[in-house]
Amino acid sequence: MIQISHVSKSYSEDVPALVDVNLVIAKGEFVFLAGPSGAGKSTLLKLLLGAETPNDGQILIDGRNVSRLRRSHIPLLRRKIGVVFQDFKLLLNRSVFENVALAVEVLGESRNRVQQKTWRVLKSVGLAHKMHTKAILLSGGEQQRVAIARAIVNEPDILLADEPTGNLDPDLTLEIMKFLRQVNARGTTVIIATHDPDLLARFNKRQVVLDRGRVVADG
Amino acid sequence: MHRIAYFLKAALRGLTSNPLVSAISIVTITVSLLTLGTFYLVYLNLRATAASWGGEVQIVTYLAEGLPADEVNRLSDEISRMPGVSAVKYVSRDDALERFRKDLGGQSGILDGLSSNPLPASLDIQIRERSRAAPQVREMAGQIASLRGVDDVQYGQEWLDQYQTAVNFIRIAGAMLGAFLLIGSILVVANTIKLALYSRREELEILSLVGASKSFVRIPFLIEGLAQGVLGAALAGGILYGGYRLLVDRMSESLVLNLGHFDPVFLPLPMILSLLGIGAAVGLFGSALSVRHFGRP
Repeated sequence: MIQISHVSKSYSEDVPALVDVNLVIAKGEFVFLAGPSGAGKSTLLKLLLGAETPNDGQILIDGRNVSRLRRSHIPLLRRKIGVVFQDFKLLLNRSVFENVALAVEVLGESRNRVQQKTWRVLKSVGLAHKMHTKAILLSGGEQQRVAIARAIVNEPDILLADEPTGNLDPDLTLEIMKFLRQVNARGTTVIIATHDPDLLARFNKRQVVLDRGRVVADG
Repeated sequence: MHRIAYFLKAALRGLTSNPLVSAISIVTITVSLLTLGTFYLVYLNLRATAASWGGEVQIVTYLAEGLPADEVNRLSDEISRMPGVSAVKYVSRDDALERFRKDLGGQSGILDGLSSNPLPASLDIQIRERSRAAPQVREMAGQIASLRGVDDVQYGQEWLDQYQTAVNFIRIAGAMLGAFLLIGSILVVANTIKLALYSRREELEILSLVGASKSFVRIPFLIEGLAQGVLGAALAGGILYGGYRLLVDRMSESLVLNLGHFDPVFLPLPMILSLLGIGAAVGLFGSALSVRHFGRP
């Protein structure tokens, strides 16, 4: 469970990124963080990842206070959270396999285990046949599927996606959303930040709308 | 094991992804250690030469003209009993002339014109190794000079000590120059690793996002620095040995050096291992300087 209470964050004094945000997201929920650019969606995701710390308030993930986490414990938090970005953040000159395996290798798993987990997740996103292809040679949709595979290969409790379909055409958007729903169906909490009204209209899921750092609608 | 394989693979990827930058770093370490090694090698050989000369150090005691044989024996016995003296050899006037004739070789004919032997008889005094320091030899020579029947005393220790001072100077100058170059090398390695960090910033960001620990991010870069240091040192050792062999082979053909007692020596094994160790330490320290702020989430 994620509990966000009275969280505020500002990068400069006169421009607050988040103002007194209160949210509770249950385990296994599928939530859209909606709102225009600059509403604070990405900031909220960064706070959940431990990449930023709030100026005020608390963020609890499964009872642990993320904002007070020691630096050395942040990697442990991130191993429970998968993350997907609009620009995919892939190593383009490495193979599909290497990109995904990286997330398993940081856990110090055995070579067999790395290969097993990576192959299994690539199969689930339909890219096992392109395992040895360099990421740069893939289409946008395929690249995003690799990014999703990397995010879910360790079966995280939470999957954060920041505008995951922002660079994709409608068909590919549907495909990616299908994967994210499948991940959610397996019990992973999925939080997607988007400013795409079509996406929000097409999927009947909980929407938390942010505007200028404040939660203006939740439902 | 798998983790070690990952680190080595990542370090190798780092070394080969920017070959020119890595090469500059390796060559800098090579030059530094080559300088240090060359100075040390020169020092070792000069010291070895000095030691061989040391064996020839003696006090030559010229005897008063016409000193009777029993007086010569008495003087020889007295000097033999002095501490620090290992042997005393009497060289008669005729022996001295004969020796001089031999030294002149083909030009000994110039002595034929002499109506009488101008050379004095002498006692050649060998000095024990532990008593060869300049002040001791000077004191010994003073004591001998004051003995009855002694005309003059000569010894070469003063010159030898000056030579040893020069050799020590070479050692200190080499160490200082080497140290400065090594500091420079550390900074070059630090910059190389900084460039490597910069060129792989995307990978580092991804590693951080997927929960890589600080050490997981840093270790490949430390290995990369270490490898640069060891490669640089190995290259320096190879060049030094190649250069040494070339020089020794040339020298053995040279007549000039065959006249002396020059017996060339290469760096002993502990020194070669030390060079490798210094190279490794420079590489490791250089990369540690750059990665110390990296890998934090």
